[in-house]
Amino acid sequence: MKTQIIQFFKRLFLLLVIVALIDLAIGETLRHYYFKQKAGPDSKTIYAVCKMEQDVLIFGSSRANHHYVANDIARVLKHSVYNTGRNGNFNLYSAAVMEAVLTRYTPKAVVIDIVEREFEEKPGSYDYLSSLLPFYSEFPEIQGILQMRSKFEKYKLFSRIYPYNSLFPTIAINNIRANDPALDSNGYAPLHNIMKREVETRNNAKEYKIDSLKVKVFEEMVDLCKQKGIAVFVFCSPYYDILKYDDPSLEMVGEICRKRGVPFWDYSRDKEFKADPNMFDDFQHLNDSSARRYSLRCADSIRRYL
Amino acid sequence: MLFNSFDFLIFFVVVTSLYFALPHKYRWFLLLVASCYFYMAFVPVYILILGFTIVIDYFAGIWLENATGRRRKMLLVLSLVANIGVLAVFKYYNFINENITTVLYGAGFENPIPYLSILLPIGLSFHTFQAMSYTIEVYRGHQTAERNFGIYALYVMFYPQLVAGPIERPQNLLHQFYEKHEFDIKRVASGLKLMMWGFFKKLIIADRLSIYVDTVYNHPENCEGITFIVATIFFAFQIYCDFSGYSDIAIGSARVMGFKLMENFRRPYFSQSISEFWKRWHISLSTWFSDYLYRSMGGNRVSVPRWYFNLFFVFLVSGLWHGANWTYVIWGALNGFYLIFAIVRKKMFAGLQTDFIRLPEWLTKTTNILVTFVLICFSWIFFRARNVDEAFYIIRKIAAFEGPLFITNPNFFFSILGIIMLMGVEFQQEFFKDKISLLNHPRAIVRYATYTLIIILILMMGVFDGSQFIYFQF
Repeated sequence: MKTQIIQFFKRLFLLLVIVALIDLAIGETLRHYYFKQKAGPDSKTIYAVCKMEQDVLIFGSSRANHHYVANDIARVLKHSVYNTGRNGNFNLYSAAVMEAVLTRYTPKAVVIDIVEREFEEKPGSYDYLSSLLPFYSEFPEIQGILQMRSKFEKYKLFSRIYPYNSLFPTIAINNIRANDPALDSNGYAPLHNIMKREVETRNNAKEYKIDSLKVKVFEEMVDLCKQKGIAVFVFCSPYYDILKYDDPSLEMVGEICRKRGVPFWDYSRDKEFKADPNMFDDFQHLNDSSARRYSLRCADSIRRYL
Repeated sequence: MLFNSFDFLIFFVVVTSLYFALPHKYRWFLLLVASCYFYMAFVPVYILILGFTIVIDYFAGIWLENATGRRRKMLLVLSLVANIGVLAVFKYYNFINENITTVLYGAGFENPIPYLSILLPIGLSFHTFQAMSYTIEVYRGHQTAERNFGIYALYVMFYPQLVAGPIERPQNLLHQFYEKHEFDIKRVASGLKLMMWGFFKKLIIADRLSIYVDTVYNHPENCEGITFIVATIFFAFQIYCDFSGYSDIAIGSARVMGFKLMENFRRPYFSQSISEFWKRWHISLSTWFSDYLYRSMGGNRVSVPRWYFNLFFVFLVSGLWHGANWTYVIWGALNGFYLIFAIVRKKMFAGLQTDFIRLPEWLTKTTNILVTFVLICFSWIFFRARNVDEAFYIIRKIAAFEGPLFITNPNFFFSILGIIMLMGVEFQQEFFKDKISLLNHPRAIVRYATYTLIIILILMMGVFDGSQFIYFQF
């Protein structure tokens, strides 16, 4: 039996060495081409984390991405603006990108777009952070947030391929494609449809389980900006449907901002946008023309503080 | 604890190492403690429910063996009622109550029976059926009652198959806990290879397909016919890879320690008829129903109408076993109907001369495989839909056969690639059995290249969000 065990471990060791070498080779190749992407959401994240130098930065999810017209806001504020919003990524992503950026330079102001149910405890909400795994080794500042994905995340990252899991077709396509138009629009991505369904009164939850970690990350994000002397502005952009109850996350955001003297504008029920199908691309996102109107209003609100 | 988690990898390495390091007489105890830990990783308190039925069945087994006549039957009934009772409370109470409410509401009354706020303990249906197989086999005299309480508890709690099978029989598993399993490099390697293939099916195919399937089936109002067709085909492969992947990991991890668990899947989507499908799909459950329910009702040694009823009833119960929802009942009924229809059709054509239509064998086989696959996919609509109304809505949309195909890149690409890889391997296993698979190739370089390729593919294409296995909910 002893000989068999020794033989088994020898073979296992050999297999692990082969796998580690191939993992290293493929991982490094993927890394090389990942950072050379010219289009797609990853190229936007690469730009935001590694190159961005604008004065005003906008953080948030797809709603930030489609609602804040960076160039229009820049014209009003007379400062350069970049929209880092990324589809499907919320406050945790924003916090990680912000931490990475602040190691390079200090912007003048930061706009954080918050969504309804931002702090809700949801399975899978940490999985979206996978879009930042390629930055893990080079940006120690974001390692803390990325390790929230799972307690074994740092061990999984021993693999060089793992950060690029599921990305190889995207990397290949985005290396061939032409430069992303989002680079010209400073991160803003317009939507052009109009809503096809009638407005609904949504029986949104009066209460839900709050993820205290998400709240802590948001608080730390605001505190970090204040510490560095960066002006912080928090917004909740408009929704199409009518929400029956006040959202607990938005109430908490209001409270956090009030305590810290940070301006918070809640446009989730704003009369100018609400329930108008011509203004929305879908029930969560404004279309281009209304995003421009909304951006001007936001810029107007911020202007007096800068 | 989920098989597709890092926790399990650590657990598996520790338990297996300790298993071989310990003297034989302590191994059962190690496995029992490990199995309890494995189960308690989900919801710790639910182990008490398993404990309750374990105590009842343990004593029932011993008393049954010594009892005769009416008392013997009474003890069996007592054990079965306890097992089914626990399952009924946790799984069916609210479902029954909901239906009572609907009926009473229709008649203008209110239902005074309160609902229970309880969660179904993971794998309770599997545990219950395995426990029931023990008392039934002791009752039938095919199995001697187990005197060692710890070994009996281990039989119903053995971690590889505790939460999603294969549903074992005492004759196959119990005696294995007394046998000494040496470290055999060939067996260990074979178990690890099976586990690796199971992880491939779960992480690369099932969890990838679930992204598309969940998006479509959880928001049917946003999708059209062609999208539903694709989502249903994807679901067919998702549920197969999810469940058979689990079985492969279970059988493989048991094999590493020297235990031989029964086969649970045998390339079901190459079946040429529905009856063949059920001989290849979830074999441990199909044979359970066949051994303990179908044959007890007389099987096919009864009048023809009664035979049809037996078949239909067994599938109806099988549907209900899967879940407390009318969708599962319809799914079971539909499969029962398929089988009866196939028998009737065969009888009708039995006397007819069909020699004038002689198709090539490959074409007949392919047609039969495709027709069986389509029928099975149709039944999966009920299995996956959230409720009966949505299932019929989806069928209506499919019948309309219109609308754009919803594609999520690169997810769609990975989904198709995963299915092609799976079907390629299974095609070789099904039709070229004499050809040696790459995983068992005599040349070490080919074997190692295959292991490496599978691991690298898992790293590159696997979904690592720790999704639950679908069958856990049953």
